[in-house]
Amino acid sequence: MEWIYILLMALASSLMVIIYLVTKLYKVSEQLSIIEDSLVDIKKGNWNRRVLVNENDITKTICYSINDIAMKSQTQLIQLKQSEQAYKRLMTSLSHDVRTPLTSLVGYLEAVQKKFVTGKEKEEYLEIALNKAHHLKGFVEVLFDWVKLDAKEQVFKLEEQDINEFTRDILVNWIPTFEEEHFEYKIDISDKECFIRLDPNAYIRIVNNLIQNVIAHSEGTRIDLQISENEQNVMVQVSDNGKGISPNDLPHIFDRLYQSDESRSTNGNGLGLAIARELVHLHKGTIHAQNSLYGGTAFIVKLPKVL
Amino acid sequence: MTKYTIETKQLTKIYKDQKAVNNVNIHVKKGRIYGLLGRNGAGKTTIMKMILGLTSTSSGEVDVFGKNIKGREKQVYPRIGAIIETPGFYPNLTGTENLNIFAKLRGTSAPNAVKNALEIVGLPYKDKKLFGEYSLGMKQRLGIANAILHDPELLILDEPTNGLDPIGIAEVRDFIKKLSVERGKTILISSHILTEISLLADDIGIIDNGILLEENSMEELKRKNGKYILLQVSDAAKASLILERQFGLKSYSVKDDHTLQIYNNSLDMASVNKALILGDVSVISSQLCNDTLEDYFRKITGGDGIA
Amino acid sequence: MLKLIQIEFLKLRRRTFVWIMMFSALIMPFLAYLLFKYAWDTGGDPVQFYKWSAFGLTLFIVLPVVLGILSTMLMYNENQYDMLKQLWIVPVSKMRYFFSKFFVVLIYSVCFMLVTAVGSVIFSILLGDIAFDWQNVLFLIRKCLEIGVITAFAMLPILAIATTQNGYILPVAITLIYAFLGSIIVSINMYIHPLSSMAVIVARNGDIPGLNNTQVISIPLAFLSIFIWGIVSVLLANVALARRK
Repeated sequence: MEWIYILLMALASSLMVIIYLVTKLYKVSEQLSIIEDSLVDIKKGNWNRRVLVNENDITKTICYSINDIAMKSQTQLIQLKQSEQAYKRLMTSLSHDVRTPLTSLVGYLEAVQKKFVTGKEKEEYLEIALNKAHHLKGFVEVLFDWVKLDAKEQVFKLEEQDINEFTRDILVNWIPTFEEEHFEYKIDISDKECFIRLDPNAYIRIVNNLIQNVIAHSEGTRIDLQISENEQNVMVQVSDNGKGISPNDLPHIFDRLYQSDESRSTNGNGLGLAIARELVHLHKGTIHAQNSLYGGTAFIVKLPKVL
Repeated sequence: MTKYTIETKQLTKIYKDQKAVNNVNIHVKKGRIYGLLGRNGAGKTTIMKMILGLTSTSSGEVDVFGKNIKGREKQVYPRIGAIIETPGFYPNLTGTENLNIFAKLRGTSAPNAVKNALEIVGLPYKDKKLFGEYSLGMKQRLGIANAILHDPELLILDEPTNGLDPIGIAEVRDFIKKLSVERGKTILISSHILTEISLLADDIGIIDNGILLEENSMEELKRKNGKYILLQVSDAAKASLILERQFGLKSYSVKDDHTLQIYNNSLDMASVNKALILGDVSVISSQLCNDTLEDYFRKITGGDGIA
Repeated sequence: MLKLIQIEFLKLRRRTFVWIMMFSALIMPFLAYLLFKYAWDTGGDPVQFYKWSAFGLTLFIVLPVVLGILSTMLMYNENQYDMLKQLWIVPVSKMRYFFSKFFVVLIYSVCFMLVTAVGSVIFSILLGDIAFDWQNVLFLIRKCLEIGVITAFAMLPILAIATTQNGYILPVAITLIYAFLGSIIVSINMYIHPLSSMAVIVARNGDIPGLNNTQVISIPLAFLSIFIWGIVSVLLANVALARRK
């Protein structure tokens, strides 16, 4: 009698094992059909397709690899598209923002050449034309810089820098300009060291562009520079007491070539803030502007401490 | 592959004899951001719920990835990430634990999926803070993290910037844009704030009282709407000289050899025309565009405007 | 399915009340201990003691109420914080979701009765006049397991009601009524109420003294009652979950 019980036990346990294996097999085949569907889709060019897989599935590594390949191909494809777009944007820029001063330059020079103006007025025309030509030259230079940035062609070298010390060094060079332009300035930077990884040239450009923007556009009389830090980020703030930015324009000011209508004049090229933003993004930081309650605008650059 | 990631055909939802959504046909193109703009209660959330199959349709059809979603939930849902209204989570768990639950339920597309998703939205990984102690902004961010956790092809985001502060809004906007530009995701986003949509969307659908009033690309709308004078003349160079010298005009751009766009609507067109003719420039046409996007939306929604 | 059950347990983290509730399993053994120490005498029969410590009020009141509260707590989060739509678009099947909750109740119920069993044994030893006997202990554990499993099924209606409600108050109130109704109905018709049907099954051999034996014992009828109530509850839960979007 004894052996019957043993046999039954063995039978029952082997049945359990079989049921377990069958369900496992069923699950794997289900996952394989999902993989197959996704691969068909990916083959058709949908590089965004991902295969989702459970933590302890046998096919986990295969699925992760498929996803990785799809994601990398997608990134490459998009980078190609982006450099194409950067080129297109250069062309639009050239046609819009170079053509305008160039046309007006031609207008002045034609007037001189066809002798519509003479004497003192002629001299004045020539001077305006020359100024316009210089401005145009400067603009084209900045434009190419920006295109390079936009196409991510420029090489960045991040190194450990004491941001407090480094910023002070940049600001020293600005003090004569502040005095010339009748700007009161207040600098609030801690003496403590605060090392973060940044590209020195890029960082100089960010600070310079923000200050330049305040001097050129704020119409204020005071500029405040402040650096503060918390656990994750360092915040660099440049604020003024000028006219502020209208809420309609505020979201657009970092867009390339965006200038609110009134200030669409000669002393700005609409690229400074766009460049600053690109550079901040290369540091994986954020930049934004807000109007302060007491008038004026504050630009805040947030840079992460750990890249 | 169909061109549209989401297409609705005559989509209608009736609540107690009232048409909450009325014959709506929206077309969300692959790889683009579609902004659904409308006042609170206009039917945006209902449309999104119907697309996701979270509420029944009274009539009409919804195609997602080219096919009807009914009966294919198991294949389609893993490819979609969504937040509808304010997303809820388990208050007795931390953000990371909450996401771990969803990662386990859905499966993941890559190792460290939870950590990556939290990083993108700017929340700390393995933080001790319970979801119940989160601020509204953090809750919203966790909701977005959950929507992108499985790296889906399609994101459906219902008012994703609700409850965020201005810095947060800018950050969320930045990474939504990034997801579309750098990762090629298709995104359907709703908002009641015009600037929000105009900054993000490539295509826009305007909905009011359940009716889709307009569907168009942002580019087209921006081209059609802006405050400027379009001037067609025989010689742009001469015209620009006259405008600069006699009217002190600075804000204008030259589109081509015969077309000028003037961003100063207060200009007296009669005297401009006269001066140009005197200066031997013939005016082919002048066109005054006096609508901003806001004016446009006010017009098509019947006077009240949006936000 | 296994995944969903695992996740249900993950969700119980930091919900200390659920674990504190487990201690209420020791209340009846402790009361029985006091009762027999100061008032009555077991006469050396452990089953008399167990009747009070594990089969009496535990079966009719304590376990159903504890399971009712647990059911409500399990359903509370998703209902209160509007989480269901997030689950549906994962997607999670509505029935699997419901059954994963049920399995948690089942496992909890069995654990609860095991704690009761262990408590009963310990207090019976503390009492002193009952000799430790393996056969009696095994009998106790077997009965406790039976009670644990069947009660979980008998509580399905409460779990279903909890899916329809947002708050705590109504489901808990219904739980109390449900439990008391169970113990009242025993003397009228044992096969109307799942809890009393459960009592029929547990006491089928007449080996638990005191449980009502006045009516005709019909095990299939009792199972049928629990089964019908269970099916009705599952259907109710299905409808309720389909409406929650």
